[in-house]
Amino acid sequence: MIKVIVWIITCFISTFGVTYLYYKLVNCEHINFKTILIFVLGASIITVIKYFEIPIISFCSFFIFYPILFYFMKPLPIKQLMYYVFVVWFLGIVLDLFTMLFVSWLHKAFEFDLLNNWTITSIILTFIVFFCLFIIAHVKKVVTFVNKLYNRLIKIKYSDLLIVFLMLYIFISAFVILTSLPNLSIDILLSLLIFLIIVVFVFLIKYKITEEEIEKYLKTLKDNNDFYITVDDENRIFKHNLMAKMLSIKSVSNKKARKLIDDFLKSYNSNMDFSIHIKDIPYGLNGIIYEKIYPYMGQLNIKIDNKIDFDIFSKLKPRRYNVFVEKMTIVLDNAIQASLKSRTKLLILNLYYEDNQIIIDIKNTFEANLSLDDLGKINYSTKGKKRGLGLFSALRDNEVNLSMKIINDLFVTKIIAKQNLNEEK
Amino acid sequence: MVKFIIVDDEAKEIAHVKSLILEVAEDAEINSFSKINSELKAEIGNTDAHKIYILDIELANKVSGITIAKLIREVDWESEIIFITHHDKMFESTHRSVYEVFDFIEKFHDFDKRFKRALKNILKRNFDNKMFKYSANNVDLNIYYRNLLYIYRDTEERKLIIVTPKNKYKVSMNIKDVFDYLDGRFVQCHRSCIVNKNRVEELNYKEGYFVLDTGEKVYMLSKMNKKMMEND
Repeated sequence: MIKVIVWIITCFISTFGVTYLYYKLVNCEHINFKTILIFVLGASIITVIKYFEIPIISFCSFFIFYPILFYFMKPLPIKQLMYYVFVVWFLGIVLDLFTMLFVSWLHKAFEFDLLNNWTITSIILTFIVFFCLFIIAHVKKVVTFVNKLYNRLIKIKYSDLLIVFLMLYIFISAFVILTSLPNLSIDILLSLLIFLIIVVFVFLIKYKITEEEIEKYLKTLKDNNDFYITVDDENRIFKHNLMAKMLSIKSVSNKKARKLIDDFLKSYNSNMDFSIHIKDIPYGLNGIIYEKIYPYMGQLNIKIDNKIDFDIFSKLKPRRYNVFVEKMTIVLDNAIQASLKSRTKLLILNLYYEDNQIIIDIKNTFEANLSLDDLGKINYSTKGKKRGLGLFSALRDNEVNLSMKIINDLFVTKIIAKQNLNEEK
Repeated sequence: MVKFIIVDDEAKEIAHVKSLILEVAEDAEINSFSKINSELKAEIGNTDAHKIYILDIELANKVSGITIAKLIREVDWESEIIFITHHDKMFESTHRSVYEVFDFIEKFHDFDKRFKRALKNILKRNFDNKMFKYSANNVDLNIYYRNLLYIYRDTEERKLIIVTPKNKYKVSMNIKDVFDYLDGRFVQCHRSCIVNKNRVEELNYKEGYFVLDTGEKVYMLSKMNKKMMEND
């Protein structure tokens, strides 16, 4: 009976220690009844497993129970959650090891008969580990280090990680073969090695191809950007000079000529209205926006309002950034074409940042026969048969959210990309 | 009782607008704000009552009246918006359609008279801003009832066509079901057609057509439905 009570106490104390460390590491804000219930249930299950001394289940139970408990305490992305589980487990193992060494040293140095008294030993060991975990949880440097380490680890490229694993495997295999050659089947090891190499290289090649594509895409984007900013500046200077010359001619002209010049000046004034200079629109997007709307500046009534004053590439994961830009391009193309066919020819772009989301809101007038239930389906387009692939593909990819509304004959499309908060920390 | 929300950064202007409102609607409930804040946001978020927003475009704060209108229209298409502005006609035409602004009134050009006239018109039409709402797979359709002209059944595609002054929208519904989405101003004038009575200018049962205020002549009027058409 005493043995059971001791097991329950030790298991609850050690579970509490581990949970408390996690609580401090991730800075949990609140604990609710559900969390406490899972804690009690999990600790009880661990008690039973440990009492019956089932080593494999005992090892696994840590990685089954704690992720669930931790998730309920603070729902983190799975990668981050597993990282913290691993950190807590690793710290626990190290502390166990040192405590065991310490107890052994006590036993040898002072000939304390602790190891023969099982009950006292386990309680002492548990309390030592618990206090160590408690102290570690309150050392700010440790907490900062663990969090910083995670931020560094997630920046490691997938390919680099695979190479590290492969090298580790080769090293360990070589060591094992050298030390215990007669007892090992080399065939099994070699076939495993070949299999691993194939898997690693397939992933590696795939990863490299994607990475190169992204690089090419970004380079084109950057080139377009630079080009259109230059064109915009030159265009402004040219327009300014031309207007000045026309006004000087107007000042010495007769009535008829003045009328002609006035008419020219009126038509020359573009319908484009930027809340700020185009170069202040987030880098990358401004090039695309300018490229798309430049040919229609004279025909469309364009309003652009930008409230984003940072580089959006730094806030989004590369893939999310690409999808965001891709969706914006598709929607902008459609909006321009639809707006051109309408009488009002209105195109409004709002770029803003709200609740950790980067949002582009595109509004356009349109005049069409629109089948609402078919909009966004493959091959449906008001432009003709076998079109509409752009919108179809844009709606398929959920990396970036795209929503469409028609409000009083105005087509409103919202593209929303969630910020990569992990990068920010 | 109608609720008025004034947003202006000048206390003098707010007092002046308040006095004008009380001249038109004695029992008006008036709330005023000098800039966007949590209280104004909460007021915008509360869409239980119909409101009349009177917004100054140029506010001292970074957030302009246009941005406030944008916030209102994110959640509320039934309240009315009046802008007080210095801006030109070009600006007016753009934002009028985007935010369904009732009127743009210039501050220094016959302001009192125009403002009171706008208020009277709003009160007269009694917030006729109810919307027809339909959700398809990928797109939501929201149109003011007053902008909806007629709805007819396309026999070839077996779909309903919703007609507005600018567009036609096809939806997979039948005539009977669409009545659930409409109010009393819509009447069945033909076995395959429903019309917005308020937009009809002429009825010709003999030749079987009706003429809308847009000038469009639609040959879908049946004598069988004469009673329904003429009932108020």
